[in-house]
Amino acid sequence: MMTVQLMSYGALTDITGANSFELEISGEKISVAELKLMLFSQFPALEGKTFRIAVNQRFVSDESDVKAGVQIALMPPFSGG
Amino acid sequence: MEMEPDFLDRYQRQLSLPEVGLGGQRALRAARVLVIGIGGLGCPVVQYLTAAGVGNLILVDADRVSLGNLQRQILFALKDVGSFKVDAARDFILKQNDKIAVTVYKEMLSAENANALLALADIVVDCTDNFAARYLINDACALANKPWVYASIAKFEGQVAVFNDRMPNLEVRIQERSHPIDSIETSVRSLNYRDVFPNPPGDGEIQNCAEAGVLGALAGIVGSIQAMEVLKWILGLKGLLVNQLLTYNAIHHSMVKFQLDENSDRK
Repeated sequence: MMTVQLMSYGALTDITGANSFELEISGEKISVAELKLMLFSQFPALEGKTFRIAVNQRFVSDESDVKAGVQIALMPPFSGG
Repeated sequence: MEMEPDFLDRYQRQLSLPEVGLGGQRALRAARVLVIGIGGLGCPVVQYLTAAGVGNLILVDADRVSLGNLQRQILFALKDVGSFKVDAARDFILKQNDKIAVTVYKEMLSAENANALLALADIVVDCTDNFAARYLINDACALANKPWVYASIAKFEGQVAVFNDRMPNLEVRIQERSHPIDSIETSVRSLNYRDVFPNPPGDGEIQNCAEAGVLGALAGIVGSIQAMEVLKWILGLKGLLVNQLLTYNAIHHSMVKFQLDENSDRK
């Protein structure tokens, strides 16, 4: 098992319910794509939303790794001005 | 462009910064900045660029001031309600400094006028409130090799970045400050909005401020950061938000800078 810290930004916080939360993941390493599937299963309203994932404050691709202790950010585009 | 006769008094507080000085003040005076959207972000941007002595301001907005704008659009007074925003903003600027050249366009940015408007400016400031305008600015600036300073707000949060800047951007501009900024040969550009969000979200997916609500002070804070980046770009200062996305949260007062990579996916 590993624990990752997640931060959600903008309107995604309305879906995740908190701007900071933790996720317990079995195994020692998963891909960002796998993390997304886990998030979609926990928060179905996330699926279909436009957002990028950052690992330790760096935007990454779906193929990147998520390991224990990293900080994940879910970043949507903002519209207002 | 000649300096204002009173510039030593007027700009004493920034002239005394080694990062500004007389050379920097001349660069500010010569700079041409295109501000697209004179709303919650555009008001503080225009206010601080005016105060700092940016010599040429080009303002684009088709809207008129409404009573509901006054809650956050701090250039406007009750007497401006019903007037075009760009006219009210020009009045504000000229009251503070009648030597600033202000050009106003009472139109929306469009595919038809974007190139002509961009050609007027050294740097573009995106103070719009919708994705169509933002992607148009991004793509037009990419084609025209113009840098632009992005900002946007959502409830209590903001994002700011400098996109499509020339890389490397700093030393060259300082050395060539006596030349018009746009005469510098373009080369590699920094990452742009499509490197962060390749495609616009679906219609209605992201709420704007009218739908989600916003406190005016947030627009003031984020617009002020945006103005700071414009001033830093003109002055050739280090630390621009190039290849980065700054986020600000007004509830926690947290700021996080996210790094953008060429190889992060464009899906």
